[in-house]
Amino acid sequence: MSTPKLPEETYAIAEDIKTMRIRGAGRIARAAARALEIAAEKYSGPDDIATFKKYMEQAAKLLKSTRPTAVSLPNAVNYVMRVLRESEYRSVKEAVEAVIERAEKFIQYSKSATKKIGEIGSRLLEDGDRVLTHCNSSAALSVIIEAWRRGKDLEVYATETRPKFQGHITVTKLAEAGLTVTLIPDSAVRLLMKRLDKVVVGADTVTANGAVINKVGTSQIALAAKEHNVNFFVAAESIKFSPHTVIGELVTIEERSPLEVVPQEFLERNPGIRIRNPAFDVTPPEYIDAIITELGVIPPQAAIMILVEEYRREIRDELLRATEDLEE
Amino acid sequence: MIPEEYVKLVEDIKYGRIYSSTETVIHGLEALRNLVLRGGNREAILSFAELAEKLVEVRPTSALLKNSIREMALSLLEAYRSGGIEAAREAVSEAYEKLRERMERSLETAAAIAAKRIEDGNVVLTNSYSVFIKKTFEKALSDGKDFNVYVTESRPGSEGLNFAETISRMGLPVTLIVDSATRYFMKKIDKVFLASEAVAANGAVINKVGTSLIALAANEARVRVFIVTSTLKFSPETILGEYVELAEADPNLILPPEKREAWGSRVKAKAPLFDVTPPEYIDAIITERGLIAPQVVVMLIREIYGWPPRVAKIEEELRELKKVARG
Repeated sequence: MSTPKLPEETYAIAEDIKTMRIRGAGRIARAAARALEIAAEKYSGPDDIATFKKYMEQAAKLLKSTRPTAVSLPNAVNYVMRVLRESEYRSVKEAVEAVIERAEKFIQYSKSATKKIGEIGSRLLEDGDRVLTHCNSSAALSVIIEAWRRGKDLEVYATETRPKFQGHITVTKLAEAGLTVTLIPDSAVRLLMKRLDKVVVGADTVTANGAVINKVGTSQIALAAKEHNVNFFVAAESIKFSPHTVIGELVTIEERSPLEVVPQEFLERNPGIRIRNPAFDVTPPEYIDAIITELGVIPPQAAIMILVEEYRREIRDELLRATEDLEE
Repeated sequence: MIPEEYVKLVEDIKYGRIYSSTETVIHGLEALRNLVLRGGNREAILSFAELAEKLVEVRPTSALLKNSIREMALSLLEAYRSGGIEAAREAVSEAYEKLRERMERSLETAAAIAAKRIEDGNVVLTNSYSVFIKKTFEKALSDGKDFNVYVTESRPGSEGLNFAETISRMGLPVTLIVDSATRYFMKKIDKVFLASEAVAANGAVINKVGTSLIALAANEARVRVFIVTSTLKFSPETILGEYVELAEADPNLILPPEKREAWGSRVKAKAPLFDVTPPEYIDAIITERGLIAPQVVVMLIREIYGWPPRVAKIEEELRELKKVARG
């Protein structure tokens, strides 16, 4: 018996994540949870648990494949799917309800996480601070905007963030919130660093050793901050911590289309020029002063603590898988 | 008054719209020469002084511009005093030709020395658009070296795109990256070659913004950094404790017009043209006088300008020129 087809909406969300119409790790995670919820709601196959599970696993696989780097995506998908994978259900209806409830719970938690990070992180910023952010991160913006709302006067700088200019979204959001912000080219971060007190960025993935994978350019900002003794903070929901890295798996850095960097006619005119366009880079834990999570502020070296507490089961499974591979 | 035809040139120089810093200066000197050659008697000298003042004012960073104008103005002043406008015209042409020749010679020699530092199989990184780096690659290619080059886009002006096209047409394998990806690729790079707008007495190098970030990332990855330049770009004023002023580009370069209205006054922009790379991050400075450690720059300045350096203040020189022209 063939598995029923996934609903259009689920495909549409997957496509939007892939093409970056939906971006930002938190938003991607919530969209993925929503896509699973929709898939469950619209299930039109036979009343057979095994078929439903297979159908949902297909949706899970589709969503996970859209962005290789963003760990929030598999974490969100696994979080929702766990109710199906680990519990027994008498009917498909019961299973559908469980998935919907779980997805909703996830979306609520994820939304409140950004807010909590803002509340916790805002304490790290002081009145009169000159702060730089890179790319567009809801968590980092939550920290900056919350600090400003609490009456701290901040001088905020944002990089344009080539190639896709996510800095334009950042300055729009800051201006809408009432802050004044200065846009700078990515190449000017070291020149500016002398004037800065703090850097706050987001994260795509936090690894077991406390390294942060984030928008390309983050690691050189951290390097320049270190050189200038400027505090470097990463705002990251616990959903961005990667359980797979505990067993030594590397995070794949996605390379995106050259057309993000130059127009088609430039490529046609210059067949001898190759464009390399990595979307992310890795900032080593030595360059990070603290990671702000919804569970509290931690030194990057304590990333493993969050991982063990939040992803005990995933880590156990990963370790089991790894040792089984060894025994084979 | 600066003649209408040069107003745009002044703005192009101010905002770094002429990509290479050497070519920027050549355009400026050409304009100055032409003013003297084609203008009337006193007006020619006056407009030379005015345009020269303006150029130094809008591009305070460029040591080559200051050094060249200083020499040109000095010969002009002496010639005009002793032989009037005819002598002045001759002197300015001669000074211009002499400067061009020195630039050309130092470019050839420095590039030839730098090219020796490129070895077969090297992966080299550079930024922006420089005639010194272009010449270096040209020489390395004609020496039969097999190497490939990473070029950063170099915002805000994006001259890197143009440079990538230029050297790709020379037959070099080129990889273009955004400025943010510099540290990501540094592990793959063997050597970094950069140019300069000015070299300070302590060996610090002023160059296109982003240069110091590249040098920092290179230093972290233990990749060597070479500056290819001319002693004409050494700044003798810095020995006397003067700072090099950093020029800024037009902020509208990074403020997209379609967003400006929505953003209003809450969103500002800062688009610096240059930054300063400290000598610790530079392995060698290569000029027509050879390859030196940045710490040795001060010795070369001393050799060229004497000790203490005998450097006329450009502003005073130009004021004097105006006084003489007014009679």
